[in-house]
Amino acid sequence: MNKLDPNVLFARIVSDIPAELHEYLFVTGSLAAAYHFQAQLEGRAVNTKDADLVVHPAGNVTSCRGMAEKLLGTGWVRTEDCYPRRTPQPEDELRAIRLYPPNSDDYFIEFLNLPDRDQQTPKRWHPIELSDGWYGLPSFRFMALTSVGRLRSDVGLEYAAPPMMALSNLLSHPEVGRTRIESGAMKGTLRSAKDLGRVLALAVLAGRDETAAWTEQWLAGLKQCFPDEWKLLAAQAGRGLRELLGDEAALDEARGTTDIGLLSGRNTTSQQLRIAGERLLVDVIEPLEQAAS
Amino acid sequence: MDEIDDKWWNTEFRPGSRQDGVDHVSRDGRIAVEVRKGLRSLRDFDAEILQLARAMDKNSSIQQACLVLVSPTLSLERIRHEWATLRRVVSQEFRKRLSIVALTREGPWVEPDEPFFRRIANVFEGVTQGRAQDRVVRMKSPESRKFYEAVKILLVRWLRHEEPIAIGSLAEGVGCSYPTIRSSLRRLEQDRYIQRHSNRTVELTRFPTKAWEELLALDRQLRQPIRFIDASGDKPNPIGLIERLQRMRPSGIALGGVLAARHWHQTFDLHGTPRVDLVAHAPDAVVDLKFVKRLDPALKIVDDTTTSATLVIRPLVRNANLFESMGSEMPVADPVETTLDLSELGLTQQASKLLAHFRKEVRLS
Repeated sequence: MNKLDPNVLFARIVSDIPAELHEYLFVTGSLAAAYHFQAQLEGRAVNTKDADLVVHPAGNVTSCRGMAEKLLGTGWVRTEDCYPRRTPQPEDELRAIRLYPPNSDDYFIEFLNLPDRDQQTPKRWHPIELSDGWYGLPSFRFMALTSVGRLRSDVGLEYAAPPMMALSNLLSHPEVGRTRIESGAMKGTLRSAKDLGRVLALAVLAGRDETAAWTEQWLAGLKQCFPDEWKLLAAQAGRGLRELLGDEAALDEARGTTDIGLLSGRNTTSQQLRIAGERLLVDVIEPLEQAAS
Repeated sequence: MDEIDDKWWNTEFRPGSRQDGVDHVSRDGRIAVEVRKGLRSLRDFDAEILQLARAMDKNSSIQQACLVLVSPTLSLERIRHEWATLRRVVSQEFRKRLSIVALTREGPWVEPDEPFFRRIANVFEGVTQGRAQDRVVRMKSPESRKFYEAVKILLVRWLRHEEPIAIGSLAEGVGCSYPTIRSSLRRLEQDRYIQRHSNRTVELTRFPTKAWEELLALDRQLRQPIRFIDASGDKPNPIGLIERLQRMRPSGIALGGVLAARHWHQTFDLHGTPRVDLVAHAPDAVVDLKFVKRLDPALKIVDDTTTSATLVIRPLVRNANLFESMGSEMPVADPVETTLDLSELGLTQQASKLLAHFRKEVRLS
């Protein structure tokens, strides 16, 4: 994994992507978190080459096609695992659009799409046809939450607010499950341990005083994105986290992911992660559950 | 299994029969509860799980089974690890239907952590012995406690220039019988610390130096401090804890130590707040520490007195708490408890000044 300064990476993305596209994009994932918490990370670089860019508004496949074509026309190139399929079906065999900037492989961008309000499946692939064939634009059911309360970086590009990334991850994993990551540096790790580990890392970096304000933001986000289901979702937001905290092995896997991720170099122990999780339960999730009951 | 004296429990559950194959069954027959005290080995743990699986298999009306481990010898970490291992080999269907409540010396563990099973945990916490930050702690009661509580009540009144107290009221405040209070007063009389009045009231006549020195020497046995450290890895944040306490205002808890000293003496001479000292009113020698987990799950009990504590709670085992009400804020412990806290913190000069603030004639060596 490369280490990149999140400030530098934001500036690079802004400079590499034509300005007229910026308003349709925001950054999410570890890069957004590392950018937001750069003071807490004390200048430590971020262990990623992956800049997750969300194309909005929801269902904006046409825009995404236009963006991808435009970038490819200005010197961006596909990553090794980004190649076309001849048909739009089956959707889960479509490859995501991942592009290196012109003349560099320091980082790559990956396009994601906001889900439609009625999406019930955890992940859905939208076929998207480029000049050489079919690709996929993934949309995750709870990713809509990351578009709520977006923050603007110093270089103008928007990014997802950490509390909303945390909620999106929590809801995506109502149980620890058995699904493991199939590729990359975290291959073999429980998917839920990585994503729920991210929640714990965000809580650690935000600190207890800041996370105490998350309940209100979560409630507002849930009501906005899921007006008919917000109570049900609020009631189950903590389920996966509680299971993770009760599962030593899974929690240790989560610690492993944070060790090479946002909490790199902090020597955070599983016990400290558990405490961060218990604080989140007491301060944020239980009040959320009460608000929904 | 002991009879369980809990209204909710007895409404919800009945004792299991031989046919049920478990200790307790919910009155609708859908939930089975097996209780195991003092579990010693992982093999026993596995056997208990197997027994519940059999019970569920045998009785199709049982939808959910709960294993309650009371004071297991095994550590919480080993239990959690074993359960995580078992979860991987049992069917998903069975995993969903089995719950575990472990009341360990490190604290309770409820899996899944849902209100119904937390309620079961609360019921069985009454059965446990020992201490943990999120359960009820029963204090030991040294025989001399009544005497020293009488001394402290009299001393608070003397420091605050209050009227003599009726002997009956003093006995009531301490929570002891009339003969016991008479015996305590005789002991103080021998050292000429008290004056009795014709209307059966009594008061201190001077600072009870000898009893005070005994109080300091016996402080740990008498007040049995429960010490907590911050295990989060963050820098301890006493101010943050105080702010949360002021929002929570847990019942029967008062601020002590430096915080209370600042209330009693506006120009109290100490910058910063080294730790949070609390006094827990425990007239029946039982301290409910559940609020600590809500205050901060990072707070863990330590027995090692050489480790700097972030929070110290001292049970006050007497009827009269003498807390100073602060309106919408947390109450404050009385000046005597406050001074004892300062002394235990090593702030002997400040402790002496605090007493002198109330009574100029008091000079501690």
